[in-house]
Amino acid sequence: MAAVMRATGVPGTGVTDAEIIEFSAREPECFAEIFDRYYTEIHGYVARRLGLNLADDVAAETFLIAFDRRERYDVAYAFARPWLYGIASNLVSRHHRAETRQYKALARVGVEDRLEGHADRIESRVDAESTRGLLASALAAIAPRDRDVLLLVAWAGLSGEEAARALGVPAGTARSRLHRARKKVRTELGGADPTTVGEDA
Amino acid sequence: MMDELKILRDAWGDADAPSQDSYVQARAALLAKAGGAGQAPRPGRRGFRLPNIGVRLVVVGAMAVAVAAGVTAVQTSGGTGGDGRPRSVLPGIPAGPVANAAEALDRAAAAADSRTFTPPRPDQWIYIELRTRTTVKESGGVTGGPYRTIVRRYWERGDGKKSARIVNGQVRIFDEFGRTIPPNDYPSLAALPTDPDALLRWVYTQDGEKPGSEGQHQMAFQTLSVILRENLLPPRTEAAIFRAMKKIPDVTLVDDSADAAGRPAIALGRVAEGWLHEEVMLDPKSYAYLGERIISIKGHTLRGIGDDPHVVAGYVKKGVLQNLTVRTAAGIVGAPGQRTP
Repeated sequence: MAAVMRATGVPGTGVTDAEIIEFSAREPECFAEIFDRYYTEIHGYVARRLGLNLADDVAAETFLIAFDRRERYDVAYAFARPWLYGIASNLVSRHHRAETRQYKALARVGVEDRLEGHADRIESRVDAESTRGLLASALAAIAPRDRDVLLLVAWAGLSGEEAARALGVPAGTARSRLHRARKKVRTELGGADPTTVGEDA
Repeated sequence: MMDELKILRDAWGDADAPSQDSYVQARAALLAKAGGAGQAPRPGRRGFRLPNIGVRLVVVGAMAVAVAAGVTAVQTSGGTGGDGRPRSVLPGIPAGPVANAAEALDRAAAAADSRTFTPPRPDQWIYIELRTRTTVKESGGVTGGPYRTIVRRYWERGDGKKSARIVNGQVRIFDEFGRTIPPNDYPSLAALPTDPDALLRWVYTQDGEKPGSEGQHQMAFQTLSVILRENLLPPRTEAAIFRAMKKIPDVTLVDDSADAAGRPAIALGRVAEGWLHEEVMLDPKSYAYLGERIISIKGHTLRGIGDDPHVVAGYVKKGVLQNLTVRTAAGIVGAPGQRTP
């Protein structure tokens, strides 16, 4: 999954993230290349978790912090994605209340939609909107630390190992957090309509 | 078999792209920080606002920015006589004021064509000095004074493999970091098409903008401006740039009596982002390249960045100078750290 999400083909240069970060220790402005490669996706990730307004701020700050820490980047890793997502994830965690509020708002919308749909089409499949409502209420209920791993894997497309590295926790810890979070999501979806949700997906 | 991860991903679909404003401001904040990072910390001067960063860098591309950030440039070799003063008359170029941007660009191209030029040897260094007048603020748009002037000096080796800057008072030589877009190494610049149409085609393929869109025209003009500003160019290449600029839509003469830091100048350019006018400045007599200027042409609200994104960072009124960059040296020297006389 991570491979699919990973940016392919970097325009202009065949240079890896690690090389750029290493080089930026001497030529700080080169770090702009890292920004260009990842700002849009980091922004998108944060926007899903916190909404657009906070995303502008948090995504910008992610790169300022990354820049400050560039000399501590482990250049053994060619791709900077996990590292950047880790920083973004830590920043998002400062806004847990805003994040939960956002999921609760989505959950409300989703459930209402679903009820209306249900009245019209008794055996209707669960549409994306109502699925999202259910998922949002599940996300609101998941412990923040578990949610971090879940969303790094589901939305950012990191592997479990990359998520662990991003968050600075042992791989086993990340695995068990992911397991817990997935179970919670499954329960939420399964409780609603397991078969149709499965097909819809 | 239920895959919660896939369901979770599909349910949210693709995220909306960040707004242009957010991209520009986040990038400017990063570059303001990066620009200051190479300098010794000094009270009251922690970094600086990079020239045009907000407007240009998004479209021109990352490594271009790295270049643009580090530099700011100019070519005086063509426009001045032995005494350093602009030549008053150039053979083949009509005297008298220009009527429009096309005429000014034609004369600039003819002036470049008539210039003698000895290319740098691979072991020689190109020296560029730029003086940028911009706000004392560290980042963001310029809402007004006070202004300050930042002087940037850098060297590029003739073979394009090394560059040099002054870091903490010492000359430091860096390995050049591969090819950049647009190029800033002499071999690549000298290899650019000297036919204006071919050059324009090349410029228009340097980005992912929609063909024929305003974004593409803007990008093309900006790219050519950056190449002009930051490099010592073979005269034929410089002439081709002026002729290519002429072919970009909506380039207009805005001022035949602009002030390039105390020198009279002709300014011509395009509207960018709907609220800025980006201009190239030429000497009114010799038509040599002098530098560039960015001015707000209508009011614009800037959004904050940092701790609170909801704060309006400022309002830029019409007619506020955003950036004035004058190239005060562009020549060839024997070693990094040396300046042209």
